[in-house]
Amino acid sequence: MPVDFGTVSSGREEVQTILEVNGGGLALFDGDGDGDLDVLMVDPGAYPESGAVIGGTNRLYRNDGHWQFTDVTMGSGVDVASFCNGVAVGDVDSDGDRDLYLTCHGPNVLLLNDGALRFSAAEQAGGAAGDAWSTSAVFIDIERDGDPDLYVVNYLAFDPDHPPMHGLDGRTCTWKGQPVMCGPQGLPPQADRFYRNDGGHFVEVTDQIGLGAPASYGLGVLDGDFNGDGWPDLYVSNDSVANFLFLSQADGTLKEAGLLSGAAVSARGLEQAGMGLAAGDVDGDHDEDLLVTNFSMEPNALYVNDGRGSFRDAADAAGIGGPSRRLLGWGVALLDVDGDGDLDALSANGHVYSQADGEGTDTSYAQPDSLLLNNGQGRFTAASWVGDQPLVSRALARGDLDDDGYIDLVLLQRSGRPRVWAGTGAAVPTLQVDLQGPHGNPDVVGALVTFTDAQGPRSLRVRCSGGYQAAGDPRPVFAWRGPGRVQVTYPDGSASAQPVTKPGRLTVTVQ
Amino acid sequence: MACTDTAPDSGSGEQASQVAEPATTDAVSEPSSEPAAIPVDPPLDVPAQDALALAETAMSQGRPDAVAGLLQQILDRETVPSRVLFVAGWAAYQLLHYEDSVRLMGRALTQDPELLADSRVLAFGHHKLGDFDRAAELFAAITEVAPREYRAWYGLGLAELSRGEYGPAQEHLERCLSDRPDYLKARYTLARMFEESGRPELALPEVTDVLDTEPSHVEALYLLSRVQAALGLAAEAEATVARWRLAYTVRERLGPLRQRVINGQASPELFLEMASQFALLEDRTQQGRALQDGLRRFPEHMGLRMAMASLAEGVR
Repeated sequence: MPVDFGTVSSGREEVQTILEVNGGGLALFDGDGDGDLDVLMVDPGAYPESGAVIGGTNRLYRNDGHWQFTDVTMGSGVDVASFCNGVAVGDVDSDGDRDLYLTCHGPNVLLLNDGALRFSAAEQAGGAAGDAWSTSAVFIDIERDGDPDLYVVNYLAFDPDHPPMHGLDGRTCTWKGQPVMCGPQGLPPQADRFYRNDGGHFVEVTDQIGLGAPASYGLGVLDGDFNGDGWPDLYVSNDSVANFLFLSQADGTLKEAGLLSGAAVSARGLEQAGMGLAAGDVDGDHDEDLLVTNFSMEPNALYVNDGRGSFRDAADAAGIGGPSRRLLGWGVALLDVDGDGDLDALSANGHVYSQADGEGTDTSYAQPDSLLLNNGQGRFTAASWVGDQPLVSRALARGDLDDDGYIDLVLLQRSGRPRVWAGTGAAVPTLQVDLQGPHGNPDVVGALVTFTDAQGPRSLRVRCSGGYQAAGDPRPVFAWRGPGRVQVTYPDGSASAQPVTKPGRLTVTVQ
Repeated sequence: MACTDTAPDSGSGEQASQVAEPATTDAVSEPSSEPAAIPVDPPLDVPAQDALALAETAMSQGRPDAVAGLLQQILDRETVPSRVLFVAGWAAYQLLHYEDSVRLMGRALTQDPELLADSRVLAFGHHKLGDFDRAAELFAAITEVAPREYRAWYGLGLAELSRGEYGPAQEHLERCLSDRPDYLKARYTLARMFEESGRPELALPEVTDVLDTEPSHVEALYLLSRVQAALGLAAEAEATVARWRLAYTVRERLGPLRQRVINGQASPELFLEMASQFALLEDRTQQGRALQDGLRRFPEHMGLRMAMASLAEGVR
């Protein structure tokens, strides 16, 4: 491992309740504006029952270059006294630097950055505190007015002082004949929330904007343009119920279209777990497909897009479903691991129940993180890789931590040391496109970058969301196949283009 | 955990640490440089025969949960008759313990290759575990020795569909349906194949046929919505999604009830409840099946008999 980020923990050593299952999250983001990725570890810490000292366990690492990181937690303001799971990155106050929104059990926390990796907690999270158990969040400029709005994913109501040790009708909750902790089924789900950004202050407008879907045990969220109409959409993974696909209506509202679009349930019409999310063009047809990780004995889903927001779960035929059946997946990424120009899939795996090691479960508690290599047409083959030791993995974030042009990975365990894998891209040179945007959207999230060379076009969307409870590096990276042309389509629909004659970093400053 | 069909009987086995490699040592593996020795298949002695008879009775009564206890002493022996392994594996499959099922039935097949014709549950077990190549290989072998076994043709079609091999999938599913045109699983899977391969116009009559027979077929309802969406029938797709949602909710209610039956906790009231759930979906066929299941177990129960009579009266 090129760097050691200490250890993270989530509740008690032995998982006793569903609150302690998800583990922490992380953000790879440029917190001090020096061009490289700093790292925030969201560490839930102690089980938050009354009398416990909770929080104070998040950690912030400043990137000093060449795999050197300095722990700058003290005095940074990130070590809040909350039991938090995930994080979203965005310039909430439009001052040009990247703020952090922590999703927690109880009120969420908005940390405003002074530009030097010192954060102050906004009162009531700037209006977006809520009081639910939030798992993931994403900043997204739904109205295309230049400042980031906020979608918060909520899971279920859970009282740490009165955990549900028994299921419905007084029966102990069971799985594969084994008594296990209860949830999510049988526990009250909590509805997601959407907050409009009004000059740095958030106003909840969930129902007004068309995002008022039934409470559905939300876990993950991803932004993108899934029907190719130029407007931002949202995809939400829900645990054991149908996922959501919210499509913009081009009037500032959205409409839920998951079931009708074919991206809500499995190919057989079955609701699945739904944790980690990744989006990308896996089959080379220039639209974004969706990869969703699921429970053991539920194949991961690969929703292949027809370009117009209609999807088909092709996981089995694509070679994704078979290898994932005995695994329970969390963070997931689509990235070019072998430098051949297409998107491979890598998922962080690990079970929920320690009882998974028992007889007759067809799975195990610790599991290998899995790599699937794409043949360029959306057909994947399982491959061994350096990081496939069995562990209880959870969040995953991707980013070029050492600025060598290759995407690195940080994987968290539910409890234990984060693992950092340095990408090599099979030593194939790369083109990294670094968009430097205006206040309110310094990373130009929502842009689409298309690199066209002699072999044709490839597109990557600029986003921080994806993985699981994580925010990653928004900069698109293309394996170099020769000179070509880069076109950037910006969130407002305008575009720019320029020729590229050599690999390396292309910086595009957006006014 | 490396899952092979000839793994020695190791009880709970090793902890899973890897995605399983495809089994290569059962009776239908590729030939190796040396002929593989076939393990001894011990004969059924009297205790084994007695235990097996009880186990097979339990299976016929829908009690797979009882089988392990009935066969455990035989399974603990150093060598186990293939028929005992086979029934134990079959019970494990019914209990959704697919790795156990594959291990036990694979051993049975290795000891007695004559069992191949009956080994579709082994093949389905591989499919459940995501090993589609192995499943296809086994199903193909079964169809060679038992070409009239329509469920093997169905299984082969399903495995090919899972591998994305639409041409072979269609061929095998149609072969199954030519023998058994009423086999709904095959017809649904054929419809799904057409939809996945971009031919919704061919999927539509097949899935409609399934729903005409079984209106509460959850998977078929979802597939119909996808087909309607693909054909541009947006309003119809939306209405079908609503039907799917109701059917799904009912099936979720039925899940725990079915599990109680498998766990040996059946009661007349349970079957009446199952029938009433199917009544919500206006699925008289499934309603009747639930009542018949109940009457098979509780033939004298007046409530079940009256419900069945009422259903028959309604049909008339």
